[in-house]
This record gives sequence, C-alpha cells and structure tokens, in this order.
Amino acid sequence: MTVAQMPTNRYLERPSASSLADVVNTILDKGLVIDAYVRVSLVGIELLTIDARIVIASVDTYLRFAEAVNRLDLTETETHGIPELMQDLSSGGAKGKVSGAIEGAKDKVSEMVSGGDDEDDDDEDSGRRSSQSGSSRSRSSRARKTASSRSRS
Amino acid sequence: MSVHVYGIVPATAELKSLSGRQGTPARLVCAGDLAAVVSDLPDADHTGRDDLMAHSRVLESVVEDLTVLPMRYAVVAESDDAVRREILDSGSARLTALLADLDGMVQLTVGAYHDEGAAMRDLLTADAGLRALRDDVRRDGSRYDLSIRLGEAVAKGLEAMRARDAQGLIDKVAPLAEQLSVNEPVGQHHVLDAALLVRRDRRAALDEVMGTLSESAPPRLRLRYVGPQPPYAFVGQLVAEEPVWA
Repeated sequence: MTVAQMPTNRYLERPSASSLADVVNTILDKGLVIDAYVRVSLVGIELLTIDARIVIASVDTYLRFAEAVNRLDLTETETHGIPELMQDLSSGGAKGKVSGAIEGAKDKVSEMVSGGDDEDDDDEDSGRRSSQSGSSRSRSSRARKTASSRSRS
Repeated sequence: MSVHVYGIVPATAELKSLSGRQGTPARLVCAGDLAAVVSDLPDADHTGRDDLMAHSRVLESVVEDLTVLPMRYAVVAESDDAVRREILDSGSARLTALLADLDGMVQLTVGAYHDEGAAMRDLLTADAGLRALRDDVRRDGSRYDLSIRLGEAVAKGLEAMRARDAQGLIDKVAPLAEQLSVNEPVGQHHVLDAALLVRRDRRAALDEVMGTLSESAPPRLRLRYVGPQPPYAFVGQLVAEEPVWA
C-alpha cells in the first residue's frame, strides 16, 4: 500500500463477505480435514494472491524507513540536536554494523511452490512465507500452491 | 462422480438453492443425524480462484441460517458413499459434539493494518528523540550508519505501536466474543488478524462496536470486518479423533 492511496475508514457498521484475500487466509489452512496424513495439496496449481504480507527487518527496510521519515512534514520539524537522546536510540553497534537485523522470510517463492507436495510439513504457516529481495516496496505478489485433495478409499 | 465437501450440518437442515464449484448445485448427503453439504465435481483435478470463492460463498450462505462446520479447502470424496463412510460415520461423535458446541455461533473476523505514512507521523510526533535523530540525518545525509540507526529506531517504534494498537482492538471486541483466535500478524504494517466466535444474538452489539471503532480510530489504523463466516478457526482439525483408514 502507498501513502497516497489510503482512504479514510468507511463506516464499518456491517461486516462484509469474504474477499479473495480473506478466503486464502481461512479456507486453505483452517477447517476440518479427514485426517492429518492426507495433505490438502496434491495437484499443484499456482495461485497468485494479492497483498503478500512479508515481515522483513533488514538494512533495506531501515534505509527505506529513514528515507520515509525524512520526507515527512510534521508541524514541529526542527529540534535542536540533543546528543544525549541519540545515545538512547543507539543500538550499541559499531559504526556501519546493523545490530538486531532479522532475516525474515527464508523460503524463495520458487522453493515454496515446488515444495508444496511434501507431506512431512504440516506447518500451517509454510504457505505464507515467501522471499523478497531487498525491496523498498511494502507489497509484492506471492505464488501459492494449492489444489484439490482426495480422500483415500 | 467426485464430490466436493463444503461442510457439515445437522441432518434436519434445509438448504437454499445454491450453486457451488463448477456451477453444480449444493446438496446434502445424510447419515444419521449428520449431513454433509456437497456438490458434484466433474473436474476434480483443477482449481483456481473461482473454486476457492465458491467454497467460501457456499459456506457463508449456509451459515446465515445454519450451524455449519466448514471443511478446509479442498476435501474431495470419490462418491456420496465415501462421504457417508469416511466423514459422517467415522467422525460422527466428534462432528455431533462440535455441532452442539457451536450451535448458535458464527465467526467474525477483525483485521487491522497501519497506513505507513500516518503511523510514521504519529510515531515522530510523539518521540522527540526520534525527531532529533532525523534532524541529524537530514543535516548529514552521507552518514549511512545514522540512517540505519534512524530506520531501525523507526522500525522498532512502529512495531511497538502495532502491538499497542492490536491490544487496544482486542480489548474492545473480546468482551463480545465467546472465543478469540488471533493469528500471527504477517507483514510490515499488519496489526491484527483475529477470528471471533460470536453468538448470533450478540452480532448486532459487535457491529456497533466496530462502527464506533471505525469512526474513532486514528487515521493510521485501517480496519477490516468480515463475516458472518462459518467457524473456521474453532473446529479444530480432524473430522474424527483417529485418522481415517478407509
């Protein structure tokens, strides 16, 4: 999502029906199955979802945030630089080192798609992660593998 | 003919006229006190957005009037008899108990995310130290390490704000729910994804709370309110206590 596009909340008095984004968030990994050993996905179909949401805390993200706050126009824009306060914000790292960076998504999209038939992994979250390389955008698409299943006879 | 299974209802249910996946009509397959909502599936090998939406649409239509236990996408049985054997008979005890427990309940999903610009604005307005750091970066844009430090501080501040906002929302809606199932937020600005199990006679009260929230929430908070849904998050996983070896 970009700043420019954000509308105000429309009045949410009544709930809305599920959209595709809601649907992929529920029916693919929630609800009843026949048994835990039959994985839902057997035949691989790639399904592009909207609004992939990926958590990445990385140098690229920090730089993008720094750039974004730099551009913000607040009513109070000027303060007198206060060295003591900067110390509070210091991560304690040496110059040039980023401490606390978390490598978020580990799976590449292609790996996730090709690995979708594995039965060893019943992790409900496995389908949600995908990778995003050094992105300055907060949105990207992801491919999700899903299919119909059959109950064993 | 393969059948796609949408969910489980009491055998006394009456279905509205509904079309499901691949346009075939939804119908009931009964065994004892239980019934499965199914539809014929001419092509069991392919699936796409329309199929996902059909599964959801059929269930959301059924749940308007009936308690329904939703199947995950996609449970496809080889025949009506397979549905009776492998789902209704083998799962009879558990399904009956679930229908009783969830009688009169629906799921409503509350979601929230941050508008990045508004959230950053709120963060900086509240934090003089952050503004000071920003000014230092502005003064000397060549200091890569300062930019990183600023960005990291912003990231942490946003994360803390997301957590506070999430808890604030939960505090407002939880009193109206019988149960709450909160999903892990995924994404840079994702604040909340919570499934609420709500008694039908409390839906109006929850609607009112969401209405008030949507009017009074700060501009940084974008809300989403979806339902009524079948209780996806509250049926557990397995139809039967033991796996089905048919």
